[in-house]
Amino acid sequence: MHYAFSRRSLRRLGLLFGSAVLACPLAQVQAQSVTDTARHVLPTVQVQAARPAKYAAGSRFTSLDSTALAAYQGGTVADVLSARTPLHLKTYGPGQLASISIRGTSARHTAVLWHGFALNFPTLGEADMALLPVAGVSRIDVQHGPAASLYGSGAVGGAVVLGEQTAPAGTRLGGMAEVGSFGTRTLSVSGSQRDGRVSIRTGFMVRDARNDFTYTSREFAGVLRRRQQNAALQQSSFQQDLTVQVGRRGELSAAAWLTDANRQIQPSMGAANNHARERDQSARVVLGYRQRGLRSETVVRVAWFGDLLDYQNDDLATSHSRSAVRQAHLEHTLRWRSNVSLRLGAEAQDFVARVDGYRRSVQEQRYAGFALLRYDPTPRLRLTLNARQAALPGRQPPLTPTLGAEWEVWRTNQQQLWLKASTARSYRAPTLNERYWRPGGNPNLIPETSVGGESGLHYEATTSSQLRLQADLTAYGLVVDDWVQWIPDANGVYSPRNLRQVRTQGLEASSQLQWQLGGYALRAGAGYAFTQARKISGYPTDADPIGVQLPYVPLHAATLHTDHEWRGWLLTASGTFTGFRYTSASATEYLPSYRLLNGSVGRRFAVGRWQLTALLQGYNLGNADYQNYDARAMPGRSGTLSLRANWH
Amino acid sequence: MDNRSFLHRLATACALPLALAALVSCDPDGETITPQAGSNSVLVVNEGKFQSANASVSVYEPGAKAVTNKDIFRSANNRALGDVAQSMTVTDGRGYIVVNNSKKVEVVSLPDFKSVGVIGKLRLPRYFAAEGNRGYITQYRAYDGLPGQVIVVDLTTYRAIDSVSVGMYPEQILISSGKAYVANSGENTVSIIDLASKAESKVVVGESPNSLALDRNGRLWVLCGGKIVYLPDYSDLDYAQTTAGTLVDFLPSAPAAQNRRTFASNRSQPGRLKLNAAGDQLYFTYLSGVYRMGIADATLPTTPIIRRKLIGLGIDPLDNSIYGGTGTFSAEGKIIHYSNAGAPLDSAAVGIGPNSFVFVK
Repeated sequence: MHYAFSRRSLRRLGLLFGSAVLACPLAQVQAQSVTDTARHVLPTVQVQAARPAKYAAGSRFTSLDSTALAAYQGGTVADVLSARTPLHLKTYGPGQLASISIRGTSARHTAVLWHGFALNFPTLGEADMALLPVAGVSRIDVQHGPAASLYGSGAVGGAVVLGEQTAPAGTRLGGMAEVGSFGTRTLSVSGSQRDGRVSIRTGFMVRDARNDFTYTSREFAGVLRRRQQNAALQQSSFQQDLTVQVGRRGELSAAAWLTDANRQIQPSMGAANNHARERDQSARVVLGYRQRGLRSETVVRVAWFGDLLDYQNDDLATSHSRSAVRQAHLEHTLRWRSNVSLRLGAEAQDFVARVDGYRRSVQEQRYAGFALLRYDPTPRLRLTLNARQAALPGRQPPLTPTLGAEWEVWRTNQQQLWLKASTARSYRAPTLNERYWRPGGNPNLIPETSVGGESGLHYEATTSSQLRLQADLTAYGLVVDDWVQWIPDANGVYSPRNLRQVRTQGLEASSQLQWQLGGYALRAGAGYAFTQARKISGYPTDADPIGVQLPYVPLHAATLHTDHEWRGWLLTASGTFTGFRYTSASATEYLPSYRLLNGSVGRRFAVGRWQLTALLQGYNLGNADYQNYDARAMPGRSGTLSLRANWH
Repeated sequence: MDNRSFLHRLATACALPLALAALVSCDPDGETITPQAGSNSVLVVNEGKFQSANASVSVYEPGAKAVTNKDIFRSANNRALGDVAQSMTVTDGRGYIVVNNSKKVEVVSLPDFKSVGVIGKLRLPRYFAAEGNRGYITQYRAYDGLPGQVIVVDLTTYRAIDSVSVGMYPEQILISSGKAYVANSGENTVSIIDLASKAESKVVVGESPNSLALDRNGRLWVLCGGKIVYLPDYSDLDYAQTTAGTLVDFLPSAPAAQNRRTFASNRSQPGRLKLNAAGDQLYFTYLSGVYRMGIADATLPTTPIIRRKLIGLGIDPLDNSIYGGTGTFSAEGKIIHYSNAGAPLDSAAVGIGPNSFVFVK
């Protein structure tokens, strides 16, 4: 029997799962390090994979190294990106769904990569940044703009590259226990061993939070302080990595990352609590082999990623979603001379999904081939030229080339100024939900494409070993075509269509400093983003207006942080500013801007081979009453106390 | 290089972005409007975006041809109405706004729109009707298979005092001569509830009844959308089995003696049955248009008076002019005021998803 129920509930399900879902994170805090491209590879041990910047000359990167991530070991990638970069993350409450927006695009326009493979749910097309614990990554590099298409589908607005955890030389053990406001508890342990031939690392993290913070609620009875209901979560992450040298030039590696989150879904203020909850489980396994030659390198990787998502509430039967992708990646890099390298590669992916909303199991294959060229004619000029061609079921995406250049225009002993530019085309394959959801899914969708360019300046100065300064300024423009929008058909069923063209343009500025004097060390940084994102044309069936700022894209966002260290004492202060965001496509309703202030104080001790750290962190110290997403309450002033022990 | 000048430059570089942000990032101005719903005001019920708790009621003044308040509930009460305003009913100087996903009915006094009560702890409420000091609310109990209910509410305390089980997915409710009629959209029946005894019985009408009207002769009109059947693989509707809508009328005293008219196409589900003030002209939406039919007409109309897909329809009792609501659920909606002949007179921006109209006399 399929009556009116079908239309209404399917429409809601379509809205829930088709476009984006539910969700939220712990307002966290700390500093940021917005480094630039290839030249500033921070010295961390790297067993595998080169930095993403090698074939991305002229692209802007926002990078968070292990030092910047240290304070967030109990948190998620969403927490650290919100606190330390001007990137906007739309979060539905602390620990709930967190969707990233790079350069005004949406989360499905950002590829999130680990070991070179996308973590985005193939069903939704986006990755939930709140499901990715910081403990699982060694660093985060965000490549802004469509030049990130060198990674494959989905990098229409940019890519987030999660650096794999690696084992430093020798034997290490580490542990952390953290307790905080609203019943937050985190426990993590890790251990690693590395010698000349074998490197092995294990990491485990578990956290839970009641998230029963109080918020102001305006109701019939008056202005009340309410305790947040139905926002508790439990989360865990397990990682195992192994690398073995095979002969003089070979290296075999295996990595597994399991994540599990059991979240209640925070209801919006004003809506009834329908006791929604969501279970997300992901398993990711990668096997790789690398063969190094004198002037060449060959890498082959195979992977299996599986995702489970179950959603339920009082009004609906449980909705199940299972998807898996088997994938293989082969690349061969040639270095003819020290200043020329060419990488050729191919990828294959096989998707299988069993999703209630598809009403059948589906399978889909995608293939791609790519060529990446890096050529430095002089030490002061770097050029990259890349091209990628994918083969998808249905309509084919275009060739996606990227072209980038960096030129050192001025140099003194202590200072350098670089000019940078890049231009690229990118694409996004339709998600499985967009193609296969029934009713409503549209198997005839064509890939979204983006074309963009950017240009900027990079300045750096090193006066001595004590002081280093970097500053970056980038201007960009980006046009996304065939942008997919879900609209109702004649029967009221929502269906995705290639409906509009969206243009985003803006400015990104950042600077950072490291300074040492005697026993005192300072790291400071600031970042600012101006982002204008507008629909510039569409079909008559797409009723949203043209020429106004897209919802949930702040025009202005800024961050500032300082980290101080003096004889084992740690002190950090940081602030973020998020400008007003429209909540409707007509740019008529908005959420006000907000400022968050965070800080921490800590002490580090060395006891034999142990290093112990006690850290007291405070979030939203100004007790700002704010919403990041419409009608989702966020916590006021809160804190955590963590104790860490590391043995080496 | 001198470290001091360097630091100075650095501080400037660091502070500049924040200073810039502070300078240019003023929020848009909000407008302050004194709430009032004057005589002859048209209240527009805006469903809002699901899960954003931004349902609203906008006030349109036909004389001034302007929306004088986009969210009168918020203006009057300094709080949001809630999540998904499904319908509004005005009776005895009170407005009852059914807020579906907030699982409540907000009660306001008119014309000042001040909140005077909340009927809470509902399931998935849809429509409201009142008689004397009793209110009757139709509600689904879930989206997957439980029969619906009519909740009986004491309008002096706004508390539920009784419930009556009805058919699947009950929609509109209409009260006449001590009986309540409920359109059970998940089946092919109208529930008839004797309000004194709470005894419920059902009369078979067409498939999926959604709206009701009582004409000047006391006949009850039931608009039925037709049964929707999907193909086994859910890729589309199965038009071999999906039935066309029907329009049924009968005298409440003899519900089995029905006139039944079947629509020509099963590609569209007729809905939003409205009646003019005189009670002799019916209006409804069908096939991306608005149709009009006299109660004495022998057949269904074949030509629309308005060719536009509407999500809300209303007939002004003062002059029989027609109001239509359009929009997506992601942006502000628009109402269009039409003459009785269907010629557009004016349009105005309202809240998100204008799904119905209430005319304040």
